[in-house]
Amino acid sequence: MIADAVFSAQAEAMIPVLHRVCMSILHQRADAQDAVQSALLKAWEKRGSAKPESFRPWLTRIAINECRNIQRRRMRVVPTDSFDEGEQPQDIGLAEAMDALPEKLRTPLLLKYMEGFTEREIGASLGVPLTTVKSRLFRARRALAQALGEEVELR
Amino acid sequence: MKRKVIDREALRALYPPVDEGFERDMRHMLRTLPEREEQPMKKKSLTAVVLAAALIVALAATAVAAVFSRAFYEDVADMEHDIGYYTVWTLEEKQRMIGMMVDHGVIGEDDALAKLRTGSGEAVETQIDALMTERYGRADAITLVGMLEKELGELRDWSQEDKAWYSQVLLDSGLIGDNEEVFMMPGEQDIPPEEAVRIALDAVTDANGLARGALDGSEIHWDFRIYADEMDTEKPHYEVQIEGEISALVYISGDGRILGEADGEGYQSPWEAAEAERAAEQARAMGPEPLLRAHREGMAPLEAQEIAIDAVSARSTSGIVDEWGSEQFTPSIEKDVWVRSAAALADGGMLMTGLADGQAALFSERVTGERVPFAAVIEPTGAIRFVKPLVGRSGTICGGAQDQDGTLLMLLEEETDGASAYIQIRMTPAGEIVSEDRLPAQSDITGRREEGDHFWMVGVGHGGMVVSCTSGPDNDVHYTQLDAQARPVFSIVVPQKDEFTPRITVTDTGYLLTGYDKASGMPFMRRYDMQGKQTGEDVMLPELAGLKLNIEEIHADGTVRVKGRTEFSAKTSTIAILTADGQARDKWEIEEDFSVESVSCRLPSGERIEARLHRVSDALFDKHLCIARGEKGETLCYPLGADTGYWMIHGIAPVGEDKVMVIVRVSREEELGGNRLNCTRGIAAVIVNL
Repeated sequence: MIADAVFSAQAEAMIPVLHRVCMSILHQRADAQDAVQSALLKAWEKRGSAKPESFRPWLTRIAINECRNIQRRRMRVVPTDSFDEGEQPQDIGLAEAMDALPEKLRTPLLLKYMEGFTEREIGASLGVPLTTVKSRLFRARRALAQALGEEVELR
Repeated sequence: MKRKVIDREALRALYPPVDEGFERDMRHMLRTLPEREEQPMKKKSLTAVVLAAALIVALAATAVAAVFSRAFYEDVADMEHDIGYYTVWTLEEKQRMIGMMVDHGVIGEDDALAKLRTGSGEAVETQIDALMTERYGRADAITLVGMLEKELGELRDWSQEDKAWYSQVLLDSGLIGDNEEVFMMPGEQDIPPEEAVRIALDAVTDANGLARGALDGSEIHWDFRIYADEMDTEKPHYEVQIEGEISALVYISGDGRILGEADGEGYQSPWEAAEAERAAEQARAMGPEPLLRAHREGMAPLEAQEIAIDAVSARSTSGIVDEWGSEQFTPSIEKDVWVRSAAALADGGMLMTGLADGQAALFSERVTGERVPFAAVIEPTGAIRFVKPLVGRSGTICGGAQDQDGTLLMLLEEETDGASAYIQIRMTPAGEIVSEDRLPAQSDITGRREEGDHFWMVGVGHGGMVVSCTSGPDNDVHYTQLDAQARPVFSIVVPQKDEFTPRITVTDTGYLLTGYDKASGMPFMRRYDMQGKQTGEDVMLPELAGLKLNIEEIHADGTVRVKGRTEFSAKTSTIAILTADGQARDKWEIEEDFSVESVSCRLPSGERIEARLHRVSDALFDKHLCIARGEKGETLCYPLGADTGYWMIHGIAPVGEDKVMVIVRVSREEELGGNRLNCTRGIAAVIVNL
């Protein structure tokens, strides 16, 4: 059980993380905001089941599920040029390469290298075993290098 | 070849930052949630309002379809798969859609519509768009599911038959997402939905102390589902949602078990949460000692000594990590020590490897230090023989074990300038580093061009370490025997079956592998000699059909003890003693949460001792250490621990004739800043007198 004050503090700190993760899946700012807000409200309702040591993947999992709900109702896959006007990333090549990855590979890659999740946290966020996380990360790195046509160092 | 460096900032730059106003709103919302809990919460209107408004207009202006044609939507699915979503369709493709709608009787044709079907030009396309958006809402909602929800209402409310049909359409057309739910009809072997709903209702009423039937007036939704990427490995389950005075979501397996974690680690159904909280309150009120005494009733008392290994404890100032200032400590538990491995040594001690973390706050990204890999040897008394911080190494330690000649072998994944290099460290049992040898590049082992190196440590034997890596489009697994200087001797290559990894164990005469033949659903054993050549045919194990196996122990008489489970989240495991030709000499089931690990060793007398975690109660996550004696671990079970708390178990070694030493990591709840947090962690050697 997590105390209400702790929930609020940790959830607040997670807003930018959730926003980035949701943007990476949905690409539309308004959709991402919908997903983040829904996730926070659902997490609050479910906070009785949150554990402090797994709060980050727990909340991330809820947000990812919200993204999927939105995808299901609108589009399951968003074209790579669907960023809002004026929000095109600088590194278009990298953005396109990332979007070319299937979501099952892209999301673990971003959780690890963009958000610094441990592999166990990624597993908890996606609901998959650790071995699957390792396998997907490996395949994601390899696919990213192939998509970019050059060797890649992920830091 | 060029090398592109992608760091965290480069990735974050791909996505626009969170809007300041939105973040402020969310912070305000979170801070006021406790005050607003008594009031019904309304979700803030964002794009949903725009969409809703569009739908309202569409509802008013669009004629309801006279015919619901499944064949039409199957055609839509094929179009979506072949040419994408409506927003990218050409005029001809949109006209094809209109034609399909007419042909299937979804809309009636008149002269105006006939002109749209055959006309050309921007005006015609604009009229078709207007017709479609009027009927189905905004253009990016014109998808298979969007159109279906327009006809059938929210997917949640569809009949299970419609849901199952919809999932089958997605599967047939190739539109299914990897992590998308697949709805199915319950099979003959599954309990009927009425029973699943009853089980869910009973569980929730019991948990809340209500009379049976008290929730019968609640709104109930149920479905039977599985996730697409788990179809080969898991079984579908019921999801029962209860909405009323008490809202709950209960997951129930096809055979009627309540699956608390059907939706993944970290989730509890509200029923379980209530149970856990009530039990936790009871435990706190009772105090840890009486609780443990209650557990010990009827059991022989067991003495044990817990020895904190302070030099690698999170709060230690010595050796590895810096003490963090109290002002830096936020309600987070990230500052920590991880144990990667704890392996018994020939002289009775334990080799422990791990990482110490100087990161003070998980959520604020205030990093005060780097993770430092370390190796330590713990004496059979629990005293520290040495701790070897691998200061200056940036990376992670993959594990360690002792070779037959007594040398300690450790595998370090070192990050230098963003690239991973794998280093084998050889050390004497006294802690002196003998050599550091870099493993060959993965491409040298696999013979393929590889993106970086990714090795796992499998074991130690036959003159060196055995590591594994995967390669190729099918993720073939390469098990590579290294020599003392980390040079490859040979590799055993095993085709990877989807994402299930075969397991290999080093034996006295070579190697033993267990695998799983996906086509037949049958596990098998395969033996290799000391040169890595397969000996004999695969030994199929029909008595263990459906189980994914791990080798637990290879006995002197050639029998093999294996443990397997049918699915990752199964609550029971099967243990079997297999003869060399694959006959199950003995086989039994044990109750086991997939998150609970156990370790075992043998006393000089040959008696098997297993240390495993034991839940204080069915509803509590708090666990303590339990020692089981005998082949089936059923002789006695002694709960240990001076306090309840979260235990993790890493290794066990015999100490003399009648003791074992278990390396554990313990965390306990503490009051901190007015909150009860599970934040204190330490590593301990527990010496158990048997």
